[in-house]
Amino acid sequence: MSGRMILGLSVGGDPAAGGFDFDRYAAAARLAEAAAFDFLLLPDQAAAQPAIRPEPLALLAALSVLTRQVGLVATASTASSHPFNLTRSLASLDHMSGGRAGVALVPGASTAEARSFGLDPADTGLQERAEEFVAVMQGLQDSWDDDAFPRNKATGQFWLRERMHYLKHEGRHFKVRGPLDVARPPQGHVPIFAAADSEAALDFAARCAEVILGGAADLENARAQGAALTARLADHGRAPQAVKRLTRLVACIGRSRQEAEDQAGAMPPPGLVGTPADLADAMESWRDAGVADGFLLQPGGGLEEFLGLAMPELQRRGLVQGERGMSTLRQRLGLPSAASRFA
Amino acid sequence: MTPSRRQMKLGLSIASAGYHYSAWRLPEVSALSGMDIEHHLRGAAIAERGKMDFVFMADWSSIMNVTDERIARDKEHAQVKLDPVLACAALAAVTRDVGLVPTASTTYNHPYAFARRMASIDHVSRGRIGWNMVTSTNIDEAMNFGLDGPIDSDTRHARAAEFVDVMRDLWQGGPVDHAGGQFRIQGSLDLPRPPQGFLPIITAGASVNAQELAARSADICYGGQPSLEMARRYYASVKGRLGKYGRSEDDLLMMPGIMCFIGRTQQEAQDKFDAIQAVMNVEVGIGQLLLNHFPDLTGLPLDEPVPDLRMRTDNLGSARLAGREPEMTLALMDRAREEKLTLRQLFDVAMCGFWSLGVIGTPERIADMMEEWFTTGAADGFMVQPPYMPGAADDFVDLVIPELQRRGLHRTAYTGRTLRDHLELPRLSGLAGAAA
Repeated sequence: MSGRMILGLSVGGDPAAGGFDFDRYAAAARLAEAAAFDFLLLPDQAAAQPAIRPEPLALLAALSVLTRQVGLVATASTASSHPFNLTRSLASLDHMSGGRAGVALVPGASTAEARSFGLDPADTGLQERAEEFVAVMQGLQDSWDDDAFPRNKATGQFWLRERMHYLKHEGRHFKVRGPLDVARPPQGHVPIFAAADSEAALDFAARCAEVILGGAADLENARAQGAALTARLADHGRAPQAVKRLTRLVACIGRSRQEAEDQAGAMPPPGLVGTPADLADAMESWRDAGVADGFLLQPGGGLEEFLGLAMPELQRRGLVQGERGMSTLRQRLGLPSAASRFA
Repeated sequence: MTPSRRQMKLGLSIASAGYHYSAWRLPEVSALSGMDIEHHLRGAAIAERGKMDFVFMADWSSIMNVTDERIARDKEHAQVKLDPVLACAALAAVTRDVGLVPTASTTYNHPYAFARRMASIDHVSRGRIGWNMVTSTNIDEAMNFGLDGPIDSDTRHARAAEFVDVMRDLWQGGPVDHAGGQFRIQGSLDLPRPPQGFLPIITAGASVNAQELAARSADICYGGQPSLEMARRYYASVKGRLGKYGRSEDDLLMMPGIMCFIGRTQQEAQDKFDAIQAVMNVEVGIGQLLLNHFPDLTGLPLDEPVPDLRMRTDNLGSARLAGREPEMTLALMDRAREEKLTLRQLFDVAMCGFWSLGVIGTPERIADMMEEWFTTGAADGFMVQPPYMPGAADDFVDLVIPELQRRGLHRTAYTGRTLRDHLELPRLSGLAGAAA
């Protein structure tokens, strides 16, 4: 793996407060941006009890006007959304943020989600739905050419018919005519993230994602996962370099190992419990082993403490490589630009 | 200090470059407005400066009439837009007092997902989000969601009523165990109760179903009536339905739309109107008339009286917009005949004061009109529809609002924290399905 390391920060529900305090999220976003993280990711499952699960896109939209550079990645379910609505939301967030939106797609439905939406979690059609969902999303994002909007005050021509495209999708799960009523996103296509932590998830990720989130207990495990992913990518006609691979790392960091252990309590593995130096060591060894293009860090405890303790060490070790002059998330991730099917 | 007079409620509609279809062509207007979050931030700042109750964002999930080239949507600015719910989430982060009311459809959303998103924004905004509920009648939207045409009115409105009830149960805390005609939902939102409890709901529409839904479930009924008489009739009709739902007259606020061209003198106001009419494409004017059941007037000379006009009924079903009543079209056709209006003059009437209150005048004249509606049973407030942005919104806040304040009709400072406070709505009473 060559190129700069990608660094993401998972901002889950803070188990501490028991309330919803937007100021804390805003502060976390600003800290993450100052620490040169490439993106924030908002997961969608309940972190702890009492669960505080803010809706990811609403929260990221609010954070988009408080930040300038950090990517904003929402988790969303293909089982309980409609692709027209989700594409509209993501394209809007991309415009609002100047090209910093991303989406982590979950193809299945958790038990709780199924109950909330009246779905059957064992429905085998959910996988197929997920793939068709992505096809609709990409197609809708191609509704408008980049130059579809002359907005010519002199002639009165706002947009050009020949640069607008109906999707006319008719599949087993969705029928969508289009066009999307949002101009082409600055990134062309909002980058799709996906986890590869089960057989079904791996297949979806290998078919549809550009950033794959993996998590493994150790390097050997990680190598095996990486090989499996490469093989599955090949099955779907994609080169190994078509995706970026990030290792998800839950970390409880303390000034000493004891302090970290006390903080971690009964945190489930896999996860790293230790000092900032321990974290930096782990990240270095994974990087040097070539199994990851970067990391998605998930603080086991409070976010401010984590950043305050960990970032100086990570910066000292050259593990945080903030880049000036990169304006979109796609550029930060080192992904190729997304050409329209009509280009 | 408690105001001595009943106060007007005022919303400012900010979603696009303006309500006039050719606003984007004015030199001082940004043609990017609808896609630009900065435009929306400016609009919210204007509303806060004027101590207005809320900003409003219209919405529909399609390019309307996109397949009909005669309607000239490619020459208009309002069809391409940002998701207004997310835009309001962004506004929540950088505004302090003003309410935020995006539009969203009950037909194309799921109540669990929507309740969760809105509750989250209520937290971010500390209690300032509301919702303009629409049931969606346009065919282009239907085709984005797998339908060949919009759902029938009875089903749409039944779904909307169930949607609101489920959302309110979820906002109250749940857990919910709902199995209704349209939705099966179990569980809770996994969020603390939104600061406002029940988020304020606006709805609009002239049909009986729409009026019943407003009376049953809304806090504000938005409308479009071009005359005092029509507005009084609508006001009485909607409010007359409240009793059967156990609600009093004060539980629902009627807020008709108003579009103003404002000048310090009448001539200055007229000049602003003439300037925007001068940049309007003829095709846009003809397309808008077509949508309102006029025949196709393409090719007619602009400055000669139009021929005797008859209503088109052939595509009434597909072209009809909710709330666009044929009586307004017939009235305009009568007027065209009686006054021998030219095509250009027909455009002038159609673009200001055709389907909602339109005024070209001084702040005093506008305030007089608003006060008359407010005190004679036509309105409890107004939805201000700036014809072009931000100039017409600035004019309203800088010129008309001080006049309303002088008359004691509008606040001079925010006293409440939430949108429910601004609207003086009770927290948990007078609502169908609410716990006492």
